[in-house]
Amino acid sequence: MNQPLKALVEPAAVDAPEKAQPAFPDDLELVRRARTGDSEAYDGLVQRYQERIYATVYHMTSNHEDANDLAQETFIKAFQALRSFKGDSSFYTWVYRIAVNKTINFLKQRRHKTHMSLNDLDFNAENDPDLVALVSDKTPRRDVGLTELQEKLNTAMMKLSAVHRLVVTLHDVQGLSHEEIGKIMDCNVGTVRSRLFYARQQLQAYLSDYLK
Amino acid sequence: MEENFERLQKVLALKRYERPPPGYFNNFSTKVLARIESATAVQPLGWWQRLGLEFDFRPALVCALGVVVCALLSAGVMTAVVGGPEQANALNAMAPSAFSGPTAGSMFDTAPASTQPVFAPAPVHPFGAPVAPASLPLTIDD
Repeated sequence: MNQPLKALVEPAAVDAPEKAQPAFPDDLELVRRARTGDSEAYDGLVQRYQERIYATVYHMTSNHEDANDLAQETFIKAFQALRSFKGDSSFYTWVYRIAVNKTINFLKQRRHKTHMSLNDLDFNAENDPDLVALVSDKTPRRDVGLTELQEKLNTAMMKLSAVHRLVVTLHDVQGLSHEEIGKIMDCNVGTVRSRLFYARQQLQAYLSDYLK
Repeated sequence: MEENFERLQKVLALKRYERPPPGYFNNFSTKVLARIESATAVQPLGWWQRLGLEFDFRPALVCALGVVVCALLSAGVMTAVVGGPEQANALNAMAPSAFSGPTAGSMFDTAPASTQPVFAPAPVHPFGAPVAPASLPLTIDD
């Protein structure tokens, strides 16, 4: 159940070469199989999107434990609603939408109780030239290290409203296009652009000391 | 617009390096599937479920209570409207046995025979002969 997706699919191809399946079945094929109760197929879907879903929720909450719960609940909810998935959008967009709705509802309930539980930075961060430049001696806040900058950045993010934080997370952190974000947030591209612009302005103001 | 935020975007790139604890994703899907299975685990069926009579008790109780209240209200209204004269007759029929005064008549179809309380002892004549309240003439002297 916990084996990589490739390992899940390859034995079938070996046992029945005449019915050879693609090494990586597409989402719709996995959805079709998962609907019939094939837990391995759903396992494949979870493994395919777990990191992106977790990351989105984590960047929205700045809390690993909350992100863990919400990401798991997203996939549970998606499984329970699998029969209602029409295929009008991609599974990826659909599951993202579930994650986003769950997270926004969670944040509404949590409101003022913001407790950050930040993940550690990958060691590669110290090798990123842009980040190194930000914390080098040439910057006004040269005393600040990457970990401190991470904390300041997350604090600033948490000051944004949920929808503005979401747009920044999906676009500037996760690299989704305006169109994809519009589909996930169920709004048009113009709204995405204006929210992104406003959110960046806000963040820039909050982090002005670190951006000079 | 994009250029203005170039430096901010470099800072935001820092978030891409935030990683959950090592090995976190190794058993993530296992946990998800375990939770799905536990949520959909077959629970023992009650006898009513086996009979196909599965229903939610709460609305059923509310409904039953409503029916009882309606029935009581209807009964009350019916008694007041239809049963009024009958009840009066029934009481009339019961009156002689209930009030054992020598001339106790109907309480409803005759004027009160006396100003004495109904259950008051019968007045006693000063010379010993009992006086029946009903035998007193009801006269109003002008």
